[in-house]
Amino acid sequence: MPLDELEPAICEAISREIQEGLSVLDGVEGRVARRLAHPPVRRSIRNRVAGVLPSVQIRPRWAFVAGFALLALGIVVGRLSLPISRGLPASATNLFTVAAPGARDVAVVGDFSAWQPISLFDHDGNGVWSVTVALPPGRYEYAFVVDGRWVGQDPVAAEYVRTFGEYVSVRYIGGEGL
Amino acid sequence: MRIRVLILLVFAVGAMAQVTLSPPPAAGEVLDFFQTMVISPDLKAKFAPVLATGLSAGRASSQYALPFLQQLSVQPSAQAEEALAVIHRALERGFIVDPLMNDVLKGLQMRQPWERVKANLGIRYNCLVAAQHVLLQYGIIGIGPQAPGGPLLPQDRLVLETAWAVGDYYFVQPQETLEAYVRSRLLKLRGSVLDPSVVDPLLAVLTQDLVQQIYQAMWIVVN
Repeated sequence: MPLDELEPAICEAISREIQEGLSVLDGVEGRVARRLAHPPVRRSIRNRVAGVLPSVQIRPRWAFVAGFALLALGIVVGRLSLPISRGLPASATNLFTVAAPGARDVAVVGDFSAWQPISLFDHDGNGVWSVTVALPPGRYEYAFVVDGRWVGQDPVAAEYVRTFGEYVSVRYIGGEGL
Repeated sequence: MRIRVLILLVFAVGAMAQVTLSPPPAAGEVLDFFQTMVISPDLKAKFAPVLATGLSAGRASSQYALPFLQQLSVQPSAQAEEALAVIHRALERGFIVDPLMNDVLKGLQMRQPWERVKANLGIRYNCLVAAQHVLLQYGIIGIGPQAPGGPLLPQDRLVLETAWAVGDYYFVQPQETLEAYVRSRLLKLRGSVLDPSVVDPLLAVLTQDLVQQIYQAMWIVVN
């Protein structure tokens, strides 16, 4: 008989013998013998989960909240693990913000984005639009585009330059121009 | 109530999320796109290897080159060729061309007439040539590779930033002197994009006369 089949057979024989003599045992000895005669069933984790799952009721709103929480966690983890170019010093976070109450579409364009628009958002609905862009140290020219209108003079800019008859804001990141 | 707080928290975290610029396209993608452009076969044959070398040496970056070519591809062929010819010349002389391409993109984003974009590009190119010439004369920089494929040197960035400051002075026409304007710019870049060991020798000898020579040489190049 294989070894793995031997153990259940022995257990069954012991259990049967104990049950036969159970009526004559009392007190602690009896309780131990009864416990040995009816050993608790060991359930695998899989079986336990399978047993619990049908009783769990997930409310849609909690599923919604959990989903958003996972999304937020992903964003936070993503922020902490952004790859950084090896040849450049570490990127700095740069907040671009502009007051544009009532605007429908606000973007920042600059040499850091090859003058392609990066959308700003008005999260609070208070007319202040913003976006944070990670940029390595350097000198950056930029402007806001508010509903298609060029807004080149950012009040917090280090300086302004004028090309093509329009102003463009300049921001220095790192170095002595910080 | 708790749900509302949770949702607000989640949106607050989302609001803090920063935009990371998309990773630069591969150089091969830039070169592939260039091959699709409708320009003269002669220019295409001349420009392609220079662009490839410039991209691999770091004189041109794919994140600027690709949008630059994409924007040019929707312009009339003659205009695209004019801009490409300038970039070609600049790469052949070993200049960093990202700001030149970016300036064209800026002009197009600002919906400027092509003649103004082209004139602006020409002035910027002339500034580069003039700055390189004068800085060489003063012994601030050595003779570089003068080719697109040579190793990118710190002095290449110094030429670029000096030229850009002089060009900005021309466009901005500020109250301060040209020397003060250029010095201020170089100091702001010192330690970030310009290594002190490269910029300090220039700052030590920077005079109105030196920058005036660049300013004047810029117009000699034009004519």
